[in-house]
Amino acid sequence: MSEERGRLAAYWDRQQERLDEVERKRALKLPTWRTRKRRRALSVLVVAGDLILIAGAVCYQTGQTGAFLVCWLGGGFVAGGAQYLLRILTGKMSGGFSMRLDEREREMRHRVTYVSYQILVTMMLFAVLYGLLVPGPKAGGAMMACALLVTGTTVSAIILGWSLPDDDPEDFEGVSPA
Amino acid sequence: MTITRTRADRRRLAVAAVIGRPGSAAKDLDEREPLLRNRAHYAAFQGICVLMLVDLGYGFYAAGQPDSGSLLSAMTAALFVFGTSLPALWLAWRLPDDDPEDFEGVAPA
Repeated sequence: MSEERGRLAAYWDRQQERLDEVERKRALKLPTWRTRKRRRALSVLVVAGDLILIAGAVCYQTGQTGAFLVCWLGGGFVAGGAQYLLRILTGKMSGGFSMRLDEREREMRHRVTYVSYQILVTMMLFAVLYGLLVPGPKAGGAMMACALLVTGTTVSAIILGWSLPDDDPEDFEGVSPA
Repeated sequence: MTITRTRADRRRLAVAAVIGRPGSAAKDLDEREPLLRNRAHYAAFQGICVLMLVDLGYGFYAAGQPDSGSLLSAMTAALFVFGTSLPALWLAWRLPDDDPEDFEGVAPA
């Protein structure tokens, strides 16, 4: 039993070290992009990708299969790519494990998620109305719910990317650039 | 008001703020309560995302049934009610008991 626990603890430590390493590497990625302007541009891109996804769901509903495929894949690509970059730039604050964040980051994540919760709930209401009111093919409502869910889950990264302040140059005095 | 504010008051306010009762806007909360509220919503956000995934799975299953739009909407509405009660559930489950010391010298209402 105790040996088993010891092995588990060693495994846990190894995982922690591995995650630390991943985090260090991530902190050094895209060094010239770590400005508010870039983050805001990426936030806008994610919003655009989400809107394209929703447009794709509407196209599915109206039966334009070609437009649906283009919008669905294109929107997924735009939103997914921008979201990936945004997650690097925000230090995975909205998507990482709570345990690996410091107190301030956790507070910020909770605040941001509070807002995205409200937005996601509103989107669910829209999904209900959409399924009830809009006639169309059978899986159309599920497609729309899918697009809205993707949108709702990206909102927290969008808000973070939009609202996080620029780095303070004073913090970097005496630190050699990587 | 500020003298007799006990944990029970704070808890009531926290729950009220989450449920969104009129008159429990953010300005009525002390600085600890928004933290609690945000924490509860963070947990609820994860929960509601899982619920939505279940909803999606049901939606693609229901696509094979007649009148699939109404079926999916009914399921979404049900999960919506569940999902919006999650923050209050989280708070009700997690908040600690009142401390009897807070009530010393306070006349029962």
